[in-house]
Amino acid sequence: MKIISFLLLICMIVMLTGCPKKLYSTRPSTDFERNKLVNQINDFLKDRQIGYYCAINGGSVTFSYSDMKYNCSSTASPITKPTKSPNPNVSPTPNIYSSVVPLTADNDAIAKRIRNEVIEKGVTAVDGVYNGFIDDLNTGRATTNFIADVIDLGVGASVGIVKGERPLQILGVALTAFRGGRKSVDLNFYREQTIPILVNKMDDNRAKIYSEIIQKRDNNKNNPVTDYPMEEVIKDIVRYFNAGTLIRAFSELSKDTAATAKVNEERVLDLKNVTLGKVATQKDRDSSVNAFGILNKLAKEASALSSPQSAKTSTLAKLQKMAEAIQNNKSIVDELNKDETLKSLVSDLKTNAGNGVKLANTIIDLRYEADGKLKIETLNAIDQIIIDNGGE
Amino acid sequence: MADDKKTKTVAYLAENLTKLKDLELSCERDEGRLGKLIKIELAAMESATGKKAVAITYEKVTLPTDINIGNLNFVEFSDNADANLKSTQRKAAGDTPVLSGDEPRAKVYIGDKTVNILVFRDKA
Repeated sequence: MKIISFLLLICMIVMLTGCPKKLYSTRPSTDFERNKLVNQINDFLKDRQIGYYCAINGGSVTFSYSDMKYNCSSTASPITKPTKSPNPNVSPTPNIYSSVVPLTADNDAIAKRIRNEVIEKGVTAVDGVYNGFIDDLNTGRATTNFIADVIDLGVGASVGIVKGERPLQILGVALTAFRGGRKSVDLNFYREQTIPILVNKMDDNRAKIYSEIIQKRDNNKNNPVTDYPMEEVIKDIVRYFNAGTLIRAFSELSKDTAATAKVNEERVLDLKNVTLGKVATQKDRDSSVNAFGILNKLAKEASALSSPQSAKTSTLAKLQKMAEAIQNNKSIVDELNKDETLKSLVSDLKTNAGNGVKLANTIIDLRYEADGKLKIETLNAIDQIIIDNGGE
Repeated sequence: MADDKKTKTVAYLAENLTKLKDLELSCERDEGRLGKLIKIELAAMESATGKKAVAITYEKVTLPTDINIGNLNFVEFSDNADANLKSTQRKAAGDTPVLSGDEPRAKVYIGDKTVNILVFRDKA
């Protein structure tokens, strides 16, 4: 009996403290050796960075297909000290650095291409290790829970078999401690969240960062590459990696809970400053909905590729008449000019007079912004102008 | 150019709403100016000293649009079974749910009552 109790105690200690650390890992492994990715990524980034800095410093970038790497040569006189600091991990070679030169369009395009390759391949590498991490997380926790369940059930069963008060006391204490230990693991290592919830949160975090990276890349299309430089890309890839960690998942889940509570609270607060509406009559409703319908119909006609030019001209003419009628109505304009946003939209009516879709949307914007600011009679008057000028 | 993501909220005091149709007409009128209805919530208005209200949020739409703006259907229901039945009937008629979920439910104040409603958009 003493041996059984002793073995049970040892098992508990091993389960609670001696389990391989990787079963409770809170982040993906940074050891890319598993897929030989670490060495690949380091080598990959190193030569890409050489290519990138070569391009932005006016050097000549070449690509070697034999070893799939970028090389650089500079046509300017080499200087001993770099005038532009690259990533400190990249060892400089004397002929890379030259005098700082303006970034040409060609070199900008090359640098962008190299930078974009780093984005795609860096993200792919992080995705690879993340998927491995998720597999381990699921397998590890399932294994742990299975073993723990077996022990729990086994000890529970043995309570019914063992005779004697003292052994029962020991088993009872051990079982309580064991269950407490499991609870503590769930609480401290997984914050009492199930794996699917944690994985969903990590996926969500990663998707947000990925979306930011892609947006930055796309927004940079018509701007110099130095607006989204290599250093920032590497920082973003690290952020992308960190987004797939349990620690980040816990922190974001906590923020979500707090944010939901805050939104619910804020919703009440926001309503303190909300427009109080006047209940509509059937006539009010018909006027507003018809005006919208007319603007929408004209916008569709103006944008339809299949419409003949004569129809588009007629459509534009109707919208222009509406815009003019609004601008020529002194009482409407006097009210509109009291608000800077509305005044600006009145000016846009002139600016967009040549484009049917833009003009229709400007009138829509005007009605949207005016609601809650102008008198109801004025809003109704604008709707009536639309109906009078936009009908058949 | 119009920005679809802009939203505005308008509140109606419960005491000003005598029947559900009042709210429906008001929401349709507001859709005509403010865009598609996206949310209905019960509220208390501090500006009206804590009086009960219904807060409706609209999201601006860019033209041209295929959304049937201004044509809503507010259907009162009594319990879950009634909600299921009426929801099925509206969908069979070609109406689309306006709020999120297969059964687009909301609570509103009409006078001194709290009313459960389904919110659909009429078939275009």
